[in-house]
Amino acid sequence: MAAPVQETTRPPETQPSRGGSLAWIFQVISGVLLLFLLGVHIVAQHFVVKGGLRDYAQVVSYLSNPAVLAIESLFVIVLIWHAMLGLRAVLLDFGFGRRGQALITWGVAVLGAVTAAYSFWLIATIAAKT
Amino acid sequence: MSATTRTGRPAGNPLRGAAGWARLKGRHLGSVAFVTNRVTGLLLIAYLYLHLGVLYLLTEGPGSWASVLHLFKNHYFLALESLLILFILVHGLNGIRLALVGTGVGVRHQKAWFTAAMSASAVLYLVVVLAMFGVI
Repeated sequence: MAAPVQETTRPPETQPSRGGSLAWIFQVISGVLLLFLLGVHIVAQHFVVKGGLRDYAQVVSYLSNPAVLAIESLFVIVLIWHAMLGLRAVLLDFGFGRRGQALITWGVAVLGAVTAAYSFWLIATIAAKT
Repeated sequence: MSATTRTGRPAGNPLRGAAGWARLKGRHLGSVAFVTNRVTGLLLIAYLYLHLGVLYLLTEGPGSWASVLHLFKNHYFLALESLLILFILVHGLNGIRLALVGTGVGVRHQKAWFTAAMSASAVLYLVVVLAMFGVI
């Protein structure tokens, strides 16, 4: 039998939040992008250079390519976005109240911003080693 | 088959925190798939922070990186790392299925899609493991 896509009938205040349908759509879009970006990241870092992982000089020379820098930066943004929205969806299922939900949203936003800032610092520092 | 909400979570299933969605007994395949995506997702987040932490060594120069590179090429470590690939494959391929079912595509065949996603994960995992250990 077909499983219809349906909403639960409980009143909104008792219904566990699904994080909103807009968040869900963003999760799908970022997920699809990640299939490509993560694929590039893993193959480039692990399967291109002879012997697997890149050594220090190889990492620096790889990141000195502007196209690579752009792709890796996009990867960082999309990955952190997807991870934070996913974490938010898990946390919202614990059924905290309205205040708790707002706190969770702010919390993952701050965590995501800090993680992105650190990641960009990391990329910039390594790329500047050339 | 159980009805599902938009995110793939079983409808009308009271989810009482972590204990709710982590309980596997008496579950339908759809919710097993849902829990699988959550667990692998959380593991991947944990790995992300571990990864970002380790990459700090690259900012310290060639010496620090060379010392961990030696560890990373250890066969036991590679075996552990292959699990990461497995989690990525399962999360990614099951994610495609969740996205399709959530948008109303292939809902009727979602069990078959799950089996297909898991089978594809297994095959790709095997290929990656062979590549990691230099067999292919």
